Amino acid sequence: MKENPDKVLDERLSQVLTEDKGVEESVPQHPDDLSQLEPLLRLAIEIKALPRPEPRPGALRATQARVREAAVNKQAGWGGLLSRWLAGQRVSLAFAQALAAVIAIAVIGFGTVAASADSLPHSPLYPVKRTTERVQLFITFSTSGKAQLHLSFAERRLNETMELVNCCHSIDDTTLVSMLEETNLAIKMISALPTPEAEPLVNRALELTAQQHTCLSQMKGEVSTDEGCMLDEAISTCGCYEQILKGETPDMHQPTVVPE
Amino acid sequence: MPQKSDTSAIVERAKRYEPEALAELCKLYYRDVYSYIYYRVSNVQDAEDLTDDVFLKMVEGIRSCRSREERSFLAWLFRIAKNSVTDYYRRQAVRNHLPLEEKHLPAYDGPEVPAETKLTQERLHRALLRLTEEQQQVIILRFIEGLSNAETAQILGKSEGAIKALQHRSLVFLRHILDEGGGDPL
Repeated sequence: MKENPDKVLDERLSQVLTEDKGVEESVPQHPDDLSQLEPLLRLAIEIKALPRPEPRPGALRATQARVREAAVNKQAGWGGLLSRWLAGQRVSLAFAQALAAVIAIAVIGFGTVAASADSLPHSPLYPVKRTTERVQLFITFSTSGKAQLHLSFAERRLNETMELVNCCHSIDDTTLVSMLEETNLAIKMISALPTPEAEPLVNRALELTAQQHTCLSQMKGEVSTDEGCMLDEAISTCGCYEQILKGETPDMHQPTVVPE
Repeated sequence: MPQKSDTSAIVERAKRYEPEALAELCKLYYRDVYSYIYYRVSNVQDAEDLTDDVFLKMVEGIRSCRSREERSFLAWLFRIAKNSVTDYYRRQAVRNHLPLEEKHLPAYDGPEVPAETKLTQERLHRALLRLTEEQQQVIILRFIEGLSNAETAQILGKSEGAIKALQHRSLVFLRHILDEGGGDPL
């Protein structure tokens, strides 16, 4: 009885692709199938050799920032709390109507907040974004939670600075200063934590300062000489933060902040 | 530095919505997901946006994820990616009616790759885009991502036998497209 051709091809593919056998080594076991199998096996080898695309630098970092933000929002879980509470209540019609009105107002508010998430400095929604961040800090009580938030905000300021450079070839000094301030605050919070709790945050902060260094250096070619000097100062401040995080004595006694 | 072999422990932490654990999963699997999506959509910007979308959906669904080991977790992510790409093409179909083969393919750059090889790879990629959605999926998952029949079957919701048959048909059809010059630029 003739063997199932799908199975025969699959066996030969596994020899060629995973056991690294040559096509010639594999096919002669079934000489009748030579003319049919050989071109398919060679094609599979060509497909396997196609290059795996490299994502652009910054794409992974941007996704990680959004994922961290989504995780923080999930941890807060106010929506889930409300729905669980409502599930256990027997509400009157009037109460339900009032509740619906409150929810409608809240939804509009949340809509504005959500729309502001991708806004950039100078955009009308940007103040909403910054206010939301202050509120997030206000309702976070643990030191490690606050440190994580400051790191996320510093990362956002870096992304905003990069986007502004990409679109306008210009630096927003307030955003740059804010990025350094957020990093500084995160480091202060981390230094107040016990070692086991601080360790992952130190690693993340080190990753952030390295990113700041790389990205700010790349931006120098895109902006004016004056703004380039501002970036140099910021890069030097990031270097100080990195030294502090590594437990070394920084070159400057106090980390400098970019002058206005 | 976390490794893919640590996936099980990282997923456990990610289920508690620990931001660092979720960011680590991104770091470990970003390239796999991006590569799959890139070969499906052939556009760097769209591939990045869709990859981003996959990892945000990962946060949403992480608590219901029963896959803990490296390979099964990757298969779970590929299932999300597959659905995201399907939605993407549905939206594209509504917005415009450009057939896949008319899409602009990115250049196969890199000075170390000989010009002839680049041309062959471009032809192959172009021909790949002329396959049906299922055929593309099986070719990318099996040969580019290196997944087993069982893993591919799990992602596509088919039996292993069906995957073997689909893989055979896809290779035959792809060979036919290339022989007919269907991978040449328009």
